[in-house]
Amino acid sequence: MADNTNFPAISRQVTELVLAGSSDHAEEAISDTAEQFGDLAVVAVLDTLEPQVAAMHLSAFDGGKLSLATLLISPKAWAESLAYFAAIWSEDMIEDEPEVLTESLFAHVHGVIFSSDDAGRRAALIHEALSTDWGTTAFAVLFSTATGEIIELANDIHSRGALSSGQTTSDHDVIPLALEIARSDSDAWDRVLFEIFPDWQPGESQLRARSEEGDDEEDGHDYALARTTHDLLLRLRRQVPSKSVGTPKKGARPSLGEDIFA
Amino acid sequence: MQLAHLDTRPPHLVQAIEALARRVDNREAAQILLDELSGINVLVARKFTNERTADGLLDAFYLTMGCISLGISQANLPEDGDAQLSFLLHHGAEYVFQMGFRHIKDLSALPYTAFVTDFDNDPHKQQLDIKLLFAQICRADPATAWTGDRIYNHELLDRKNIQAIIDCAKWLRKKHYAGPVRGVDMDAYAVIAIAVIFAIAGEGRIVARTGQEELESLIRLARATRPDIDAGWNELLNQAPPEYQPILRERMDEYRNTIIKKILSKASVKSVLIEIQKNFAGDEQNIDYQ
Repeated sequence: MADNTNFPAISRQVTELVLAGSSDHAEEAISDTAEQFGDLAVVAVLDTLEPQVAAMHLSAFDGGKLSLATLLISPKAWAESLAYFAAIWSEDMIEDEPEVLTESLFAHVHGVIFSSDDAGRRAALIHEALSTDWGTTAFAVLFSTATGEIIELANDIHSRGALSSGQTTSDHDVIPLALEIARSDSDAWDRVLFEIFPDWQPGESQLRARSEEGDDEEDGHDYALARTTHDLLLRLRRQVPSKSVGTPKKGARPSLGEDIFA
Repeated sequence: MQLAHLDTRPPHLVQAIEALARRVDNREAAQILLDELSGINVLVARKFTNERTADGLLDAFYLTMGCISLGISQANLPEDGDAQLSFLLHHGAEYVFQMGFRHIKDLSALPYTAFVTDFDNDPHKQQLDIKLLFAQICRADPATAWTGDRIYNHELLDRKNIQAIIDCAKWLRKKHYAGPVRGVDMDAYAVIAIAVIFAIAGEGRIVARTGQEELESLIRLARATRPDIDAGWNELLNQAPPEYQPILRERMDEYRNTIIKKILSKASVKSVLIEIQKNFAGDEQNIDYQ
């Protein structure tokens, strides 16, 4: 690495490009950096991006399109950026099209974690993401789309251990992700389970998907009921950090708001 | 030089911001102003354009620029960026925007034509009028000259004149010899025309609405008796409140050599009637018979 002093300039450039909505150009700047200074320089640049900017950039490269950033972002920076993933979700979107949001979240998480074959990197990504509250909620959102399968898998892992499990009756997309977590970080796996089943008392109650008929009452105490995808999406949205806009700056007047049209 | 400068004047807000750039120690004021302006930009986009698209935000940016400039322009300040800036910073961009927007609302409350209809009171139409005027006057591109303030002044003068004409017509209707004329719909020009035409008879009564028969008998009477037109008109003017006299007088000067001449001429009564109906009395003439 030749010249470290270039990196602040590059991250500023990338930030500006991302904020201007030009992810392609930002990606170009990133790959130029990689060519000129090597991959580590890119890691350094990505580390210095504000997490919300990183989130914005990464979310532009879901699924189909591959990005150097998804390959190279450091686990910690990714975990922080994950907090902002839900920033653009509105209550209406959560209400009207939860599947779309869940799908995009899955594409993002799956894309980042499985972008490299390096098991160490995967474990680090999972570990960092699941040491945050929002990361745990994000994974819980994904697993809540297949609560039945997750319960089956959880029971399996409980009785046979993570390494020998993996045969489920379903080939749902989230299963490989769940297995990856259970195999690399058992604490993290438990945290996700608790996020989905908040009332779960291991050994005392059994996990259970919320039944659609709403007959929760009949034998409710013995089961820990799952949160719904919708609830978890809302939880994730609420965890997006927000700079309080209301902090009045020195000398600023209170805003009139809509009254400017009065 | 002064005139050329005036003709190619950028929006007032741009002048104020240029003045801010020349001030020393301007960072804090600039930051506050920027925050306020971007806040207004979003509110305008949300209300009038579209805050979700770049085009919508850009449109709202032009409107914000123009509306604040209008607020500054109507504050009786010297043509000087520094004075405009002090005004802007003293009141805050939001209040200045509010002033500009109130000017637009006041303007839209004034009548656009002298033709009054019930539809004018429809709140939906009023909103549309405000929106239309706002978009027409308060659209300022910071990179080019802006004449919205002059359009505004011109339009304001126009509409005030029209308002006076409507008020005058309303007054005439109230004083109609056969009792006040009721009804919301009114063609103010026609009311005044009828009153001025009937005043030539010099009978001292005010006629704000008429029918064909009354017109016919007026024409016949005028041809038979050759009344003193100015005396009749003076009588009408003496009855009218001072603020309406110029309006009536203007009309009289216009008619003296046109329709009044024709009434007194040898032209057939029918052709005079048709002309009055077509060009003067219009909707304010009752339809009696064909």
